[in-house]
Parts: sequence; structure tokens; C-alpha cells
Amino acid sequence: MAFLRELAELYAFREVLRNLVSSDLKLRFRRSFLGYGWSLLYPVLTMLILAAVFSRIMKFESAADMVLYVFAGLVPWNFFVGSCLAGGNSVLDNEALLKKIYLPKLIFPLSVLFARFVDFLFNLVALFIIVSFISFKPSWALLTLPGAVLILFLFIDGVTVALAAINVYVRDASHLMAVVFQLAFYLTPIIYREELVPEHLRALLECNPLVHIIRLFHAILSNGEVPSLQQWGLGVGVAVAAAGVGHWIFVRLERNLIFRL
Amino acid sequence: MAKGESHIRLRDIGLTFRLYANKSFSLREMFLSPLKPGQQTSDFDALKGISLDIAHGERVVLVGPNGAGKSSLLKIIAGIYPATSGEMTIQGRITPLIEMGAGFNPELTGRENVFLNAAILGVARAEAQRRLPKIIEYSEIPPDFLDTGIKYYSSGMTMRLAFSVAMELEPEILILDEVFAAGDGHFVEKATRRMQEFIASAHIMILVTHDLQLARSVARRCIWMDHGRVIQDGPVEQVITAYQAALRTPDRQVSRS
Repeated sequence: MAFLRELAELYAFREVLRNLVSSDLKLRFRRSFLGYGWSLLYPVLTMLILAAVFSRIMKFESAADMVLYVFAGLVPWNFFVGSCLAGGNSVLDNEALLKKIYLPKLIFPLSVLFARFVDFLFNLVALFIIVSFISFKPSWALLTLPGAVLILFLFIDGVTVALAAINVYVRDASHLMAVVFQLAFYLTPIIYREELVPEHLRALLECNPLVHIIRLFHAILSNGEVPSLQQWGLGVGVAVAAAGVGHWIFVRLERNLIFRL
Repeated sequence: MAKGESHIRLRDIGLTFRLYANKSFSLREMFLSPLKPGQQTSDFDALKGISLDIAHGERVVLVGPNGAGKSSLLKIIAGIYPATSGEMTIQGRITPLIEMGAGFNPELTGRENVFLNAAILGVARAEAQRRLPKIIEYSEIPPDFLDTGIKYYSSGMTMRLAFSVAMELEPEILILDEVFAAGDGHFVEKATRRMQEFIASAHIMILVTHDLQLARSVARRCIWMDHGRVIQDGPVEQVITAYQAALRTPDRQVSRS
């Protein structure tokens, strides 16, 4: 089976994967004074900008409420965009290497995915620290957070891997991606509450797969409640479908990818 | 075949490149293609019906004019290109030294690059760690440069480091595309000696080169290729003599080089 073969290959090349992840993490903040501080500061600053621009329009009950809500959506979103944009270009970026030595192509998008996942965990910790100063009531719902993280991870894995292969074949894709993600940001309830969407457009929200995942984070982090079974079901469904389709596309395109670089 | 021995077996290997006017199609072409009769492609057979056996202990050199398919054949053996047709079985770990320092990341330091490159070439971290002092000593990189990004290295330093990493590998099937010039005067001399030991330690060596003198000195078997086919395969003296004779006869197809 193609999937098992890919896994066995990844295991054989795990040292390369590990090296790529660690150099990605090391290099991004090397020689910057704040270093990893940036990965914590970035969501905070984005948050402040959004708060300043949108707080009036978005009708949040209180500032504390808004911080919690926006953070809960923004941190997973940053993981999603970061991984898809860099991971989507990762195979293209390593063209020179791939033409000189055999490496499983999957390690390039995966190395980006893992590096961004580490950032995501850092951001999550930052979120907790900051939020606990403002208005954080710890709840049992937090115990289900790993489930939501796993769902998010699977979803992003599928999209990143698919984009990495598609971008080689359709070069317009990488330009298009940036625009599509910008649009998707506004189509996903991150800086506004779902209730703000007019009734007749609500159905459209359901078509956005990311909505189902962000909802889990909103429920757990911002409302302090365990998501309903239906919410979990939708989240799992979306994530498994994305991962399945993404890897299927990758395996299909991988074989002749080298001729298209 | 005894266990632990390396072997390469190719049967009727063919490689067809599909040439696209533009390698990746754009969205415009994707939408317009139903209107036009197909994408503008043409096929090019880089390799045609190659069958070869290379046994444990063999030192093989591939010669032929440019575009003969030598490098394509190396890439098939190294697994970089999937063959379009035919069968291939390979026993033994392949170490392709197709270009020195191919796996270097200019942003990383010399030390970090040693580990990255070692991993790419299939050396475990613990093993790389163990060999690090030797690699550093051999490369003659000044100690204060080791933790500097290699984008600040001179090209000679980068070459020396790449060479030193490569020479610490224990190749089973060694694949060399041209022989890399390894930096400055005294290092070249030292490197040439090291290279000979290195080649001697491999189970199988396959070299592509245009340097017939070098071909004679390192290999006993020579494969002459042209237009994607094997023209002659045999003892190095005999094949090279025939190849040179063909090069001197301008009406032969092989003369375009």
C-alpha cells in the first residue's frame, strides 16, 4: 500500500526530517535580538492591531472577552497559514537538492508542518500566560484541547502536503494561495463572532471546513465548554478527509514530480 | 550472490522525457486546453533499452558525447528519476556524489551543515558526531569559522568542507558525476590521494567523465553510450580506443560532442 510505503520511507529518512525542522526553527530567529520572543510577540501584536481596528464594529461585550475569543481563533489560523504558505513552496524551494540526490519528497512539506507546529505550541503557551492575567477561568474543558489540536494538525497536514505537490504542476497556485488565504481569513469567524453573520449567509459558513475546526477552539478556550458531539464529529470528519485527500493527491503526483521541477 | 555484497541489475530500462513548452502549465493553459488540441508536448527518449549488470567489486566508467544519456542513467540508478519502462534491482546503499555540497544550506553554520549533509547522505547523527573532529581537521577550516554561516565561507572552504564530509562516508555503491575539483593547490593533492582510498573502499563505483585519462586510471570496465543506448561495454582500454576512433571519424553519429 502506497501509504505504508511512504511511512516506511519517512522513518528511514527521519534524520533528514529532524535536521530540516531544527534548522528551520533555528534560522528564523537567528541573529534577531528577541529570538523566539518573536514567535510569542507576533500573535500579540497582530491581536492588538485587530483589536484597535475592529473592536468597535465587532460588538464584543468586553475587551477581555474579545482578547480571549480572537486569540482562540488567531493562533490556530496562524499555524494553518504559516504551514500552507511555506510548506506549499517547500518542494519547489528544494528543487536543486532533489535533482542531485534521492530524498522522499514528503519530508519537505512535513518539515515545515512540524516547525510551524512547534511555533503553534509556543503561541498557545503565550496565549495562556497573557490570558490568565486578564480573565481566565480554568475549566475542565481544557482537558479536551489536545483533541482539538490533533484535529487541527491533521487538517493542516492534508492541505500543506497537497499544496506542496500541486504547486509544482501549477505555478499559478503559489500566487493564488496568498490571495485565497487572505479571503479565507475574513470568511472564517476569527475577528468577528459567528452571530454577526446575517442569517441567510450562515449556511455558507458551514461550507468552510476551517470553521468546524476553529469552533472547537472557540468552545474550549473562549467559552470554557466541551464541544458538543456533533461539533467533534464535524471536526474529525473535516480533518480526516483533508489528510486523506491531501496525501492521496501527493502520492499520485509524486512519481513524476521530478520531471516537472 | 553472497549476503552483504552489492549488485546492480538493469533490464531494458527506458526513460522518456515529456518536453513541455513550459514545464508546468499555467492556469490559462489549463482552462484553454479543452479548446486547443492537447498541450504542446513532445517526447524525448533519453534512455532506450538499457540492460546492465554491475557486480560487487566493479569499477565502471561511463563515457560518451554530451546528451548521450550518461547522467540520466546515473540518476535512474540513484533513484532520482523513476524509469519509464524496464526493471531495476539494486542491492546496497547508494552514495551519490553528483555535486559537492549539494545539501548545504548557506544560512547554517559549518558545523550544522556537517550534520545536515551527513543526514542527507544517510549517516546517523551519533555516527556523524563521532566523525566530526576528523572531518573538521581534514577540511582545514579555521576553528573560528565553524560556527559561522557558510555563506561567509570562501568557495574553497565550502568545497573542502563538502569534500571532507563525503570522504567520511562508507559507500557501498558510489556514484560520481564528473570529478569535482577540490579547492586550492595543496588540498587538491591531498584530496586526490584521499579520493583514491575512498573509491577503493566502495563495493561498486560508477563514474561519469569526459576525462579519458582519468577513466583509464580508475576503472577496469567502460561503458560507451550514445543517443540513449549502450554502444560498447567491455574492458576499459578496448572501449576507450574504439570511442576515440569514433570521435576522430566525423561521419559517425557519435562525433557531435
